[in-house]
Amino acid sequence: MKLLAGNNRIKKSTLLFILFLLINSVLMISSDKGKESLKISEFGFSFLSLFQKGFAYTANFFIETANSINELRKVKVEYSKLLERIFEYESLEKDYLDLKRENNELRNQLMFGSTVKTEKIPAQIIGQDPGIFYNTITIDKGSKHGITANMPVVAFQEGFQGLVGRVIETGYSSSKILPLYDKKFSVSARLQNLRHEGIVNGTGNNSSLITMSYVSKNASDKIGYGDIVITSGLSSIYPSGIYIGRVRSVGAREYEPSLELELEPVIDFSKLEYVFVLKEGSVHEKE
Amino acid sequence: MKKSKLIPAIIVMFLFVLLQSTLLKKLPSHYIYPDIALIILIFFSNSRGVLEGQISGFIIGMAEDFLSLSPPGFNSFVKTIIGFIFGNTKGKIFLDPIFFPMLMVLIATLIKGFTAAIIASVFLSQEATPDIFTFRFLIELIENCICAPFVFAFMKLVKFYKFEDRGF
Repeated sequence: MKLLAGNNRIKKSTLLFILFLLINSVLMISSDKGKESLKISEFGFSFLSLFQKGFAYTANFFIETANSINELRKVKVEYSKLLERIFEYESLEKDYLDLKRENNELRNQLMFGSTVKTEKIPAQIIGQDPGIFYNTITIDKGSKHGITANMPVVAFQEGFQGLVGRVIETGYSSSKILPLYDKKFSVSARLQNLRHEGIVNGTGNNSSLITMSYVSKNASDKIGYGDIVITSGLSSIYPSGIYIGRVRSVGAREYEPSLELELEPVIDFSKLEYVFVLKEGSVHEKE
Repeated sequence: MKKSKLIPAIIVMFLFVLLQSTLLKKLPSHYIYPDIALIILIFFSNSRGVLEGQISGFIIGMAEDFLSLSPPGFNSFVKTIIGFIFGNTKGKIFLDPIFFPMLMVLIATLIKGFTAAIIASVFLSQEATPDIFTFRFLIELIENCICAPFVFAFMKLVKFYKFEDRGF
């Protein structure tokens, strides 16, 4: 009897094992075809990210409280520095307004009838991929805040608006971002000064450089260390002029028709806390 | 009467998944950190058996899939297999404080890598296939082995999983 009971137990667990593997297989196959499992995934993500959000907010509260004394010291020093900078910016603002007015007048003269306004939705990073095989950044804004898949995500660091990635999946109150350094990420880009175009791809690791390929060989003598690469605006997702990275090395093989550049992203992902999701707004007609 | 520890075990593992995706990411380790949920899964499967091991592996893997960019079923597949394998070691391994925890976690991490590589090549398209055997994987393997004795010792210390039904 004991042996029989033992056999039943083995059968039960083996059957369950096969059932679990079957469920997983079906989910993976259907997700690869972009079908029903996406809804399960969205629901699961919406639900579990609530816990992730709660965990991240609680952890941040304690970390920030612990750091607050040290922060106060820094704030005092930074306050005096910022006061000086405000005086500089006040004079710059007048120049900026003059230039803006002049730019509008010139655009009207050149018949550039419309510009697309983008709305920036601020979001806090609440988590990242729990595993090592994929790269994800999770933010605390989702479909209820107007975020949809494929919206570009940027951040501000050291005065630059740098590209972070794009929204790849949205839950009700949180979204997943495919970061710039992921291998599946690609964006049409150009060298800011030389205007040569290329395609920027991630290399899969946030601490390593990203690559820009298909750059014309004509540019090989002119490209310099530190040259800025921006989005070209040729792809339908990313607006033009967003900073991507700085050139760190130029790879030129004789048998290849184009150059491959290594770039250091403008955004330091290890320091990233807040991002902005760019939502394409209405088209503003110029008078 | 034997009391199931499945739900508390899943909650603890899920807490560590949340920890891995939030707090541990703030550490200056280039986003490479030990897979503590995996270590707990090995401990739990080894002490509770096949049935509870694979159920907890399936559920916690699915939770990881939902929070990750991986297709649903990817991590769940890997962790179900690990739960099943290490559930079968119940009562067959004498758990010393250092060597066997490290060995079990080493084997489990390698199984994780190989299983992920196989299922990615079988089920996923080329665009969705991640790089498995990278420098990050090697670092995680080392970190997992180093953490294993500590996590096992902690689990024994809190007596979260009792050993009276281990059968030896």
